[in-house]
Amino acid sequence: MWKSATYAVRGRGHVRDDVPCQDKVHEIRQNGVSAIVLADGAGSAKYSHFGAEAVARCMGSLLTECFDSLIENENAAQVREKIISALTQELELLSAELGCECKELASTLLFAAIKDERIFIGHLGDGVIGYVKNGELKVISKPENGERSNITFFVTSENAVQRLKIMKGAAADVSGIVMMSDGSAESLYDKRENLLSPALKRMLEWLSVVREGSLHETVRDSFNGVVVNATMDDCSVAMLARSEEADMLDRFGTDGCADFFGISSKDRRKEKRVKRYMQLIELYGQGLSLKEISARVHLSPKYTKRHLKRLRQIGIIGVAMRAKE
Amino acid sequence: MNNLRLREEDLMNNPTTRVIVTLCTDTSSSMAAVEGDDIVYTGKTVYKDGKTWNVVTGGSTRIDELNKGMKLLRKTLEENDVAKYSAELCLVKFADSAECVLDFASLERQKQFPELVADGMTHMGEGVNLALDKIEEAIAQCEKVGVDYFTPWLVIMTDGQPNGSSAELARAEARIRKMVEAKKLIVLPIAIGNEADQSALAKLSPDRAPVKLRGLRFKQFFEWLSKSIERTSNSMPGEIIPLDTEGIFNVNGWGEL
Repeated sequence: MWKSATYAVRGRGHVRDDVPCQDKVHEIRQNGVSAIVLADGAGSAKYSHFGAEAVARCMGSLLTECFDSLIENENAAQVREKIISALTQELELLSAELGCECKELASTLLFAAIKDERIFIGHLGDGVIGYVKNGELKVISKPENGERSNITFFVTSENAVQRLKIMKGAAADVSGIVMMSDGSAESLYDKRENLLSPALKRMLEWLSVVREGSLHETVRDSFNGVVVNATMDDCSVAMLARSEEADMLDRFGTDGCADFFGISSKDRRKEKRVKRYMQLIELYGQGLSLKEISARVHLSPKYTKRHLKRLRQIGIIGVAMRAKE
Repeated sequence: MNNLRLREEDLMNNPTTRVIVTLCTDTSSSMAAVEGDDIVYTGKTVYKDGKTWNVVTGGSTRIDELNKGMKLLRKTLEENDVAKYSAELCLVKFADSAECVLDFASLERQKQFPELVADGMTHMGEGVNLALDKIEEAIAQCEKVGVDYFTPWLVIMTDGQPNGSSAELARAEARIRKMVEAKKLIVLPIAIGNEADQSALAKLSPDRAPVKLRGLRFKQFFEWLSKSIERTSNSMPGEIIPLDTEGIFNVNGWGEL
């Protein structure tokens, strides 16, 4: 199973100008397909926030309804044509509704979908797509700009079919996929070295073990507090991580777990505290009462409750965890 | 609070997208022309730059106001947190010949604008060709080191008629036309004073009509240019920057960048 996490935040430039966020993200799980889509509306297009939303949703539906026919078609040109044609039809309906031209709904397009250990990825315009394969975070698809940084390609561009990049492959050694808009890429992607921030790998690893949805607060705070300050542009991200039933201590070590639980690296009782959290997770998973858990971990019910609340906030509780031997 | 949140040290360090601006300015003798309400005619005349001029006292010369305006441009850009790392300025002057008096460099490393002096003819074609050479060098350098840049700007300022090589002028016109059509260049043509040949300027700016500076409002013009550069430095991809030029030019022939 694959878990997803997505987030989009309005950039400082759009806050200043009172313009809606033009980055849209979408996650969908249907018909055995797990998919994420990201669309970044063209800055100069008046209704691109509507266009991006329509593109993200339409692409999500296309992926979940037509995954097999798309990925099994060896004629890449036909597949690109089918995708752009479907999105164009959607935008034409929307343009009629809004009384505008299609180009005013322009957006980029990034998507990733997985079914039965087969991956299908697509990219049109700027933004970046990466994955973790064999434990290593790599870039799969770089931004495509015109000759200058403020020009890129859109779903509504004349040469959209030719510019759309599509890739497919086996998911065997892949544990996570991440995509982001160019606003996020300002600070999470090194353009000269073609490298993604290692922090993204950390997020994907945690997404794989925690309850889906529980990383939202972390992603939200990261983007609102740090990423958005590095650019004037809207920022968005979408992630897919392979779900793992994992022993966290084995997987991330004491320091990694301490980091996740919010225990300071300088805390002299760090190891003891991490072990206590691990013990709480195990006992909670056995279905014991608060009183029974408190007795086993030698804490008052008040403090036990506080620790369990913390674990619930992080999202650990609720995921099936294998007991450490 | 869990420490999975991104921290400053998790961010990648990408260089700021550059705003490349070349000022290509006339420093012919006519730029010593004086304007102002307090000028007094002496009754004498002098022949310079292909014309006969009245000698006056008082007022301020075009070149003095230009120098002041450029200093102001530099100062305001250095005071802006984003523009000071983003803006790259180059100054080319043309009179009897063309010369690059200040080449592109980051503001913190670049020297201050030199004082320009008005003397000589108006070899505008030569000046514009040199400015275009400089822009192309700057683009090549950005691409070589992997630094993004916005579409470069070329500001052409003149108060007279070009009287240098017509072949050089034609070459400049052709180069600009090609670059503007390919959306690789933005030209801002400024006419100074009543003697400026706006038709010559128009040929150097295929998609933007020349505008005439009101009086000697160089200060206002450079304040506006500085704000436009700051705005571009802080812009997002695809954002259109409106040019608010009211009060600076006689005719608001410009819309947006």
